[in-house]
Amino acid sequence: MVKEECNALVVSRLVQSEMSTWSEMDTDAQLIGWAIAGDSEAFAQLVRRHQGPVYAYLARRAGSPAAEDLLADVWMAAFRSRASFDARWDSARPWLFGIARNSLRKHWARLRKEDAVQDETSDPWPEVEDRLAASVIVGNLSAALNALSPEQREVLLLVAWEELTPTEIALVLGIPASTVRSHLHRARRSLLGDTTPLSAAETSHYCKET
Amino acid sequence: MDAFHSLREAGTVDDPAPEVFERAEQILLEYIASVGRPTAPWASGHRRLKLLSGWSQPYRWLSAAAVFVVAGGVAFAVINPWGSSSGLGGSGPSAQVLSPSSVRLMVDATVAALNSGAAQMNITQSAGGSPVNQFSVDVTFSGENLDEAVTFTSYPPSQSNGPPSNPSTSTSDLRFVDGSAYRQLAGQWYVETGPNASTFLTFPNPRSFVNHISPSADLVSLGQVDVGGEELTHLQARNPVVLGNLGIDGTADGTDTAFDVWVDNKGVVQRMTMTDTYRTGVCVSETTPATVPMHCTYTDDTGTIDIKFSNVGSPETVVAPVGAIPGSWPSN
Repeated sequence: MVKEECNALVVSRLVQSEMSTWSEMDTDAQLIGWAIAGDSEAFAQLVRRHQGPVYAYLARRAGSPAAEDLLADVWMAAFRSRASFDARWDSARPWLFGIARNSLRKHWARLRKEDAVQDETSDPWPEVEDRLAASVIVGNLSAALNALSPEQREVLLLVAWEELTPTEIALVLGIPASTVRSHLHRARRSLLGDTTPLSAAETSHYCKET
Repeated sequence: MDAFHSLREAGTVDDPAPEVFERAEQILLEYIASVGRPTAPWASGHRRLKLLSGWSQPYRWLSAAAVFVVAGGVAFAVINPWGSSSGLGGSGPSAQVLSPSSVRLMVDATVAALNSGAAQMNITQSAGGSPVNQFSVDVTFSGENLDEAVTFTSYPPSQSNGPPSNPSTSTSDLRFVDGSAYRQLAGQWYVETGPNASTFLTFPNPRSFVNHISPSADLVSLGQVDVGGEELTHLQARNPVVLGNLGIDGTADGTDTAFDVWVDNKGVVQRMTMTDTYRTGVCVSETTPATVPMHCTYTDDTGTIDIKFSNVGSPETVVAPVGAIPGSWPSN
């Protein structure tokens, strides 16, 4: 079914009936549309569709026990903010990762509640690094990852682990896609051990787009 | 195994027990039940979805989506930032301002689409309603390479006791190819290489202007307009002052008073205009040597920038001219 036909189907459903008749073939945008219209089961279908990747996103950053606790928080937050989903995105995954990221921030803030000042922009890398320390594979990468800025590291991990595109990462992080590409470019160079400064042409290219 | 794949391997996470997912979903459903079943937006009778028989399919869909958004109490612009056809847009006080994410998507879509194409820029500086300087720039671009043909017209001030002065016109052709800047003067091409080569261009790559569009400019939709057979959405800034000079140094350093942009149904900017005002003064001495304070006359001058994109996404080729003389080119 081409997108226009699919969209037309949604319109006809809306016009003809209040009853929800979503199907598993519906896009995420359509499921969220049904959820906004009052069908909580459509939202549950969306949850089932993305629970694996969202759990993995949480577990990679906070560990499995915390991820199990946070998962329901993410779904409830997503349900509360379902109307903010941009229906032009067929997949809700980047939007859900953005919500999961906020849940992680709150989680880390709770863990640090003994601190006088809660830093909303605190870098979660130490926790992630602790978890990765057990991995033999990552041993040689640790220094390279440590050398990255938090923004570069987060972009790199969203590509490597969550397999998001720069445009999707822009949605997760709330920054321009061109900035994501710039961070990714620098992070990849650093990961490959290339510490030479960006050429003037590269600098010009990325600075112009950010 | 390369570093990137090693990193990917290190992120492997085991699937949790099925009960983990089931528990989370159960908590969600209990939460939904506790906050009450949301009301369908059309059930109240206040905001009914119109039948849109005359509309193209995408706009029907977007309007349907708009109903969802109204139900959630979120700006219409989140779903259909370009149009006002549902009646939620418009220039009145209730017009919805585009959300930051919509503006970002518009900018990203435009920058992506403008990887190649052409642009015509007209930049005019006026004083007292009469033009003073005018640039007409035709740009062809492909990636970072571009060719810009500039026609500069200067309008000398009229003499009070003489014939009107004729405007003077000069032209230049500049190219930026693979990091080198080329300029043609009197039939001879000159080439400037090195890290600062791009600064020799008169204007930056036109797509860079789009990056200066900020959500804080408060863009609202004024509706659809037919431009050359294509239906575009006209957006206007309620707060243009935040936009600065679009990165065009020296052309608009005053206070931005108007900013308009026309967007196609893919969210790609097809045209943008900006107006700014600035005050200039001319001071003359009425005695020689000046024994009394000079008499100054101030005028509110206006700068306008009008950029029209064309052939967006069409392959363009910008090649380096042959026989260019290396080194800094001579000035006019």
